[in-house]
Amino acid sequence: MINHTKTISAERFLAFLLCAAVIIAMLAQLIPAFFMPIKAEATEGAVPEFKTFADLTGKTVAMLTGAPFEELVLEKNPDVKEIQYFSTPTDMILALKTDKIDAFLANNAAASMMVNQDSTLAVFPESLEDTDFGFAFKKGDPAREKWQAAFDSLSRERIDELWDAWIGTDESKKILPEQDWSGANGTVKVAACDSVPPMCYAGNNGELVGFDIAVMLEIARVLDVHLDFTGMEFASVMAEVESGKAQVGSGSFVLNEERRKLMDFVTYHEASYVMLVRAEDGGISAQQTASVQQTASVQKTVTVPEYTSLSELNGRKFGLVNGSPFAEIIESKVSDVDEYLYFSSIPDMALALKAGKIDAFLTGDTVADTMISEDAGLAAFPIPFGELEYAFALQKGNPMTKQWQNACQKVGEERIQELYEIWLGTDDSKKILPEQDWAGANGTVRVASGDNVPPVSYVAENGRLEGFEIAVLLEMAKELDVHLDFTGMELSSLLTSLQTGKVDISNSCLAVTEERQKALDLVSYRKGSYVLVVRAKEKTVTAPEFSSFADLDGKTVAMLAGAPFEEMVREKNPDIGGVQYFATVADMQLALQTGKIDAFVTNNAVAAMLSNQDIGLAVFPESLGDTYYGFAFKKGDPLRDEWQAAYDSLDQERISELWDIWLGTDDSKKVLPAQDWSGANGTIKVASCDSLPPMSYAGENGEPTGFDIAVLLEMAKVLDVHLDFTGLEFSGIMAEVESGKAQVGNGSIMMTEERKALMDFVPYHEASFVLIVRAAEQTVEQPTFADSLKASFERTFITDARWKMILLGLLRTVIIAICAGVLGTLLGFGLVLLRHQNNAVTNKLIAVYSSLITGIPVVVILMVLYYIVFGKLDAPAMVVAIIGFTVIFGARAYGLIWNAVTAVDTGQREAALALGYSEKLAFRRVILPQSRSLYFQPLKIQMVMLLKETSVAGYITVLEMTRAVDLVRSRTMEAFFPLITAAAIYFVLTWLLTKLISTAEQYLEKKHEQRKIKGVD
Amino acid sequence: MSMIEIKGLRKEYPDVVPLKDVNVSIDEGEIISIIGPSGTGKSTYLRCINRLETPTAGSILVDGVDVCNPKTDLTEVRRKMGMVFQSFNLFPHKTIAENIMMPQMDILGISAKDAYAEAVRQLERVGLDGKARKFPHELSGGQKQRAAIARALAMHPKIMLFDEPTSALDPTMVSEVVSVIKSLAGSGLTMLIVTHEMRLARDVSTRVFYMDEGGIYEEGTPEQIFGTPQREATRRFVFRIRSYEYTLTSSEHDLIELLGGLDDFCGRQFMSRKAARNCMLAAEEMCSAYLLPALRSSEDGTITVRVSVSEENGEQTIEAEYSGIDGDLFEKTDDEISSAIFKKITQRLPDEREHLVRFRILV
Repeated sequence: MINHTKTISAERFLAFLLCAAVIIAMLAQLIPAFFMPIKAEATEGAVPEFKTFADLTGKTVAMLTGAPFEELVLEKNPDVKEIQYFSTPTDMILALKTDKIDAFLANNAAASMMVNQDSTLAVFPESLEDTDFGFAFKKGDPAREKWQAAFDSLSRERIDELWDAWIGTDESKKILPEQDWSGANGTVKVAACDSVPPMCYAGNNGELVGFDIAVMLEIARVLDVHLDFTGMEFASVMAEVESGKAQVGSGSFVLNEERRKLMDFVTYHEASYVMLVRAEDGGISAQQTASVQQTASVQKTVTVPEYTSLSELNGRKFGLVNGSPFAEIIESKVSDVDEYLYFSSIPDMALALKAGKIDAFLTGDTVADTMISEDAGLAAFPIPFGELEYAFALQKGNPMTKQWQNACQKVGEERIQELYEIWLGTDDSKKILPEQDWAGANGTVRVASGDNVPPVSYVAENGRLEGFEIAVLLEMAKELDVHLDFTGMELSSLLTSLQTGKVDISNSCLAVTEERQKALDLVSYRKGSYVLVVRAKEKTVTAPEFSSFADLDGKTVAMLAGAPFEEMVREKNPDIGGVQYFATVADMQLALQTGKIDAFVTNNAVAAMLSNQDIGLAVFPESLGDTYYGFAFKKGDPLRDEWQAAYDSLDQERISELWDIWLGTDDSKKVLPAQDWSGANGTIKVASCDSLPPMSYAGENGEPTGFDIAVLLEMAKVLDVHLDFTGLEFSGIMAEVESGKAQVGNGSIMMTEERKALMDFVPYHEASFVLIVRAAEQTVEQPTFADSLKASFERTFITDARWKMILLGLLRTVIIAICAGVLGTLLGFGLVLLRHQNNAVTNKLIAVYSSLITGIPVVVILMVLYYIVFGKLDAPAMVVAIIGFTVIFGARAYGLIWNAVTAVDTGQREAALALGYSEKLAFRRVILPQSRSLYFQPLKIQMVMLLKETSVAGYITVLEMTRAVDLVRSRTMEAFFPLITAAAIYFVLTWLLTKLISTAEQYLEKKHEQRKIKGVD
Repeated sequence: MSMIEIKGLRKEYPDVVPLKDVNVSIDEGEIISIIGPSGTGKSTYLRCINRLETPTAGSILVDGVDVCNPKTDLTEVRRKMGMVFQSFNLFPHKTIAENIMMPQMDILGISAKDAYAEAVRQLERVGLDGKARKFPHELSGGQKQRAAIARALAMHPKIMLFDEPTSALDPTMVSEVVSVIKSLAGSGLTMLIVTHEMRLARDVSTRVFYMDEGGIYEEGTPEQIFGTPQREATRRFVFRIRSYEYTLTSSEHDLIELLGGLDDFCGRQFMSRKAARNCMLAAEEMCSAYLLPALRSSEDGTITVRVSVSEENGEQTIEAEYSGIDGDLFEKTDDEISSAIFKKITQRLPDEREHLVRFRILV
């Protein structure tokens, strides 16, 4: 009879607790973001606002009262607006911060300390003067000699030690010794300034402390005198000594001529004057409150071209100057030009580009370089479009052509380059054309010049034509002894004028083309290249937290399991804290963000992608090493050479193109070709990593995709083989190839010595190892919780229709669970029947089987099945998973059912036997049915557990739900949403399963209660 | 030919041998009650017959088939026998009707309808016609046992084995089961009933086996066994005789202790005051008059005094078993008074045993 215990409320309570825990975890992540003040933190070595004395023109400089530096300052820059005097450094700092002054003087000690403590201050890079610090004595006081001698007897090291202690930031070191010597030679009064830290100031309890005091105490010990300190204002110290009220005065006096005249000094440390100014981030007070700005001084803004790959140019509008033959050149690289728009001049095109009417235009490097450097809104497209020759044009068949060519050669490349540098440089004073003061015996030549192609050929302020080409022409004219008569005109008119004979020669930064050569005589004077000009966009580049390998002392570095970089990293810095291994890049990224590691190693491709996507990460500036990415083959496999040959036959530009596509951000371009060639040479199995974007990862439908795959497909086409991809974890790839389950392995595998010893490779792209570290600071605008949730949701489910992959994973999970559950239960019953036979041999076998299953973890069992038992066979992973779970569940079901069976009262068997039942029949009809109430609940619980255990099937490449979610996680680079989703889905599934079984139970119970007798009612 | 023929049946366990050597022959239609003290192998004996226990040695022929032979198809033989257990052993997950139908359908291949009809018939027979659709746990103990009987009967066995059918029932329910068993008596079934219910055994049996000392100690008709049991153990069992023994020797003859123990014993028996007093008196006088003088006058004499009381019929006896003493113990005495009292309250009983004299104590 089935027992209904009231467990429902307990289950509900537990579910509630789980949800509460989840919600609290989510909130805990976000709460710090709400409460953490958003500070602007600059790094050490803040950049000063003014950099040279010249910058101080019209500014206010301050110094301590009594400090004789006005002269010095004025000497450096007479145009300083005014000098102000303050009584303490603290006052001066405040005045600086509130903009009352622009700079103030301090000695090097004080300056170091202030800058260390206050990041809004910076040291002016030029110093005023170098001198010494000195203790003051009344002029002519013989005590001074004694003190000087005493000071000289002190070791330099001790003085340095004291200097470091008192100028540094470690307060615990700033302790003065007790005056525990005898003091037999009397007590000396010292007047000390109480407000010039770190040299001389009042400590916590009002006692005088500082470097000066420390040094004086050392001296006093030598002299065996006691010191009696009196603190006072800086300005009073010297007066105190002069009047005799004190014998020694200290206050970080910096010695100069004036002071030396007034008093005698014992010098005790080098000194220099520096000025302190504000740090570059600008005014300080207002902006230290919370505000949302991306004001990291470590973040630089650079301009980069808007488009960086050829594929991005498809479907765009290009500008052409009327009559220019560049369409062909453009079309040689860009397959799909939307349209061409024609302009009359290059500057017009530049304007149109910036206004967005066109997306790019092609021109020569001379024009392009100048335009781009002068206009921040323009940038050069990184891929070159080819070389060109610049030439002057003459009418076809002009007899003068040859002479002009000679003249050009006579002028010479060097001279032309010189002119080039002048006219394309920034020093306008050099851009002077020579007067045509030669004879011109050979006549006048009419020249048509482009009037709007700076810096090559343009109309200057004075109305004359100027420019690089003009200069060259004049040189050539000199050689030919002709005079030139220039007429400036529009580009489009130039050639017409030439062809109609209105002019003899024309210049307009003309490029040599076949078509033109047919129509004109060309005198080329310089080589250059085509440049595609595009819009520039700003990009903030994050500076990394660590900038050199030395910074990594004691830090934890991570890398993928199976990656052989530990040696390399330790080579660079043997003192790193430790190395950790992770399964996926996404895991490492998360660990880095949460501070569990300090850096991780990855390849350049991934690094570029990551630092683009996540501004919290930055690329460590030093690279670990350069090598190649390689496709892995089993050692000695002759296939490798075939593939190498295939790779070599590929067009490198195609590879570059693929690289740009796959490393770019435009996902619509990332499409693999269908394998529509014949595949006559067979099918090759490829083991691909499914979690290393952008090189090799699982796409929408779970199929491997990425740069690697694209290249492999190209090679397959050449070899006429078909490729059969299997996605798995990085650490499994080489095992797959070695065991022969796959012939090729890929996964942005970097070729290292160690790996080359194990496998053969076909290198297919340069690679370098880089470290990814956290960005030095994060001042990001925090999105609202709702926003970030929405963004997470989109990334997890909507983008790339990822929900499909998750759904497929879910389906697989359910299939495995149901199949294994049903088959496993049947297997369990079968084993129970077998066990009932009580044959000694089978009993033992069953016992061994059962203990194996209970003694070995599920994951290991699955892997043993997949790699060893079914290793050679071509069984699909799903099948192996189902078999594996069936075997596991079967053992458990057997155990449960057999326990239940033995718990049935023995009298039942006896009654059955006595009635004439055989043992077998008695078991089946009497014992087994009765045991149901004993095994049913445990079996139900086991089924639910099975559902959850399927989550490890991912280890044998099954794309079930946990793995699907994990892949999404590696694509979205966030952990939170995908994992919570997975947890929720499992929860719902198990709840459903439990509900289903319970409903079945209740139905059976009801039927039982009806007491209907089969065959009678 | 007899229905059940048992030869040389022996059953050994590692520490005890309940059946040493049993030989018996049972004819068809006989109703045998098997009685005896606990642990004497009664259930073992019964369970050997349908091979629920496997004998260590011997042969059991049931209707001509040797049950002990390993080659025998036990299911066939067992079909001819029905067994009723002390703990009923109904199938708890089935209704009563299904309990009775299942064996018919599974073993005899009878259709559900017919099996059901038979079930109803049997239930009527045992007086449970309304209980067909009940589950066993809904029945009382007596009803359960009757249902179990019905289940066994539905298979139309030739032999019915009852293993202490009423031992687990409380007294109020014993009679309903007993009456069912009685009603079966005339039906031609061969029945073996292991029971503690003497009335049942007396009323229904054709033969009674008293089992003791590893076998059938004494057998006979109910009148014989219950009326005039021949052998000592049988007597003791049947009459539920309780005894008190004390041994006196020539050197040690503590009468006080004997009487003290006897007093204790009498107190524990359900005796009337008069009976107890007579008992004490008889013992005392016997000792004074006859026993102690005899002991004193012999060198190495031993006399065991045994006082027995039958719970069954209240009969009290006192006997003296002696050795090392010459002559008749009770021939003469010097103590006239004691012997007079003694003779008054006792009556000598004949007893063949040597050196043993028995008296009934008169009440």
